[in-house]
Amino acid sequence: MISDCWNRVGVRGDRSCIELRQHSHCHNCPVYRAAAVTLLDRELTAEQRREQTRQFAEAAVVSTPGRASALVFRVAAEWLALPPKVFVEVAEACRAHSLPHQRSEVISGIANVRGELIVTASLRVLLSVQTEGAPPRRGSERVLVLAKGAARFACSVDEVHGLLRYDPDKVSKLPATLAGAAARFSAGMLSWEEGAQRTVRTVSLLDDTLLFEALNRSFA
Amino acid sequence: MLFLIFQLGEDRYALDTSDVVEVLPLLEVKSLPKAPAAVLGLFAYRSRTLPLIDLTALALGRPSRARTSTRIIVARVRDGAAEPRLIGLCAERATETMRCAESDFVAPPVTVRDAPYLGPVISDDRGIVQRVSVDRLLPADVLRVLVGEGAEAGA
Repeated sequence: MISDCWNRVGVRGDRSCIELRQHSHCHNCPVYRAAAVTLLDRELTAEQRREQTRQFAEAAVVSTPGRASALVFRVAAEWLALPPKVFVEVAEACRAHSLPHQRSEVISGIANVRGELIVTASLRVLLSVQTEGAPPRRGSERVLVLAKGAARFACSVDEVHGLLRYDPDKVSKLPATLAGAAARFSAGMLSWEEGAQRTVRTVSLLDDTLLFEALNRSFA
Repeated sequence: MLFLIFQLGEDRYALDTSDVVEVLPLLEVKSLPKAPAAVLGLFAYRSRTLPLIDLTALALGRPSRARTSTRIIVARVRDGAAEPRLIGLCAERATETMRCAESDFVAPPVTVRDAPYLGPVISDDRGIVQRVSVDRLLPADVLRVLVGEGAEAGA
């Protein structure tokens, strides 16, 4: 039989329990803890037992904390990632001013990012991302300012998630049958558990060297 | 020192956590025919197979209840063998730990010859806790099952 002292003299009662002075809250009190253990103690079902057996029969999964990180962003329906070292900043979305006589479709113009004029490049065109799919969330658009060496580009994206830590050994290779522009720049695929539902998404990790070579070529 | 508390019947006992590798929930066990009652059988533990000894059966002669608070304590046992051996110990209410100094324990006024594993005692606000030595835990008939017929029993 459990005495629910927390309802009578504890924090949910008149708070007259002398133990409260020492523990401040019933949550910290050994009586409360012992009651919780008693309440949670129940018959073990065969199903639970089988599940536990399966869990402990396998070798221990030692979680390796991600040793590398990548900044994850979205272009149309594609989630992409780039190593953080190429990022100068993530800025608010701004309008690009078009450049006359610019034939490359990748280079869309020049943008004023906090007083600095930066050539804007379209990742959507460069990677030929399908534009149909998820409509952009209003207000989530950002401009990524990327730099490598002397090259500096501003690319507008539909959403920036943030940094994703990953284990470099667990980057999966792209299927060999996958062709197209996106595959050409990809260094591999990361799996990313998103949100409280732990939805697993696949993020394409871009090779920054290849990406910058292509951007520089488009500009020339 | 940190001790793992478990119960044999209504009484509490303490196991030095330096002998404990891991505490698992109850798992499915493959029983061993003809083995002593305290030897529940074999269970799969992290791609190995370990023997499972029921402490309640060993001490009280009745099996541990199949409840969520009944746990398998994976312990290192040095019973004369050069290398410590891993065994699973099934114990009821192995859900708490206690931190106290080695010197807080006092020798019990009586010792039981058939229970050489019972060590010094400590009392707290909930009663008396007695230390259990893993190395002296296993009786000769259980050790014979684990080690083999000709082996020297360490205890």
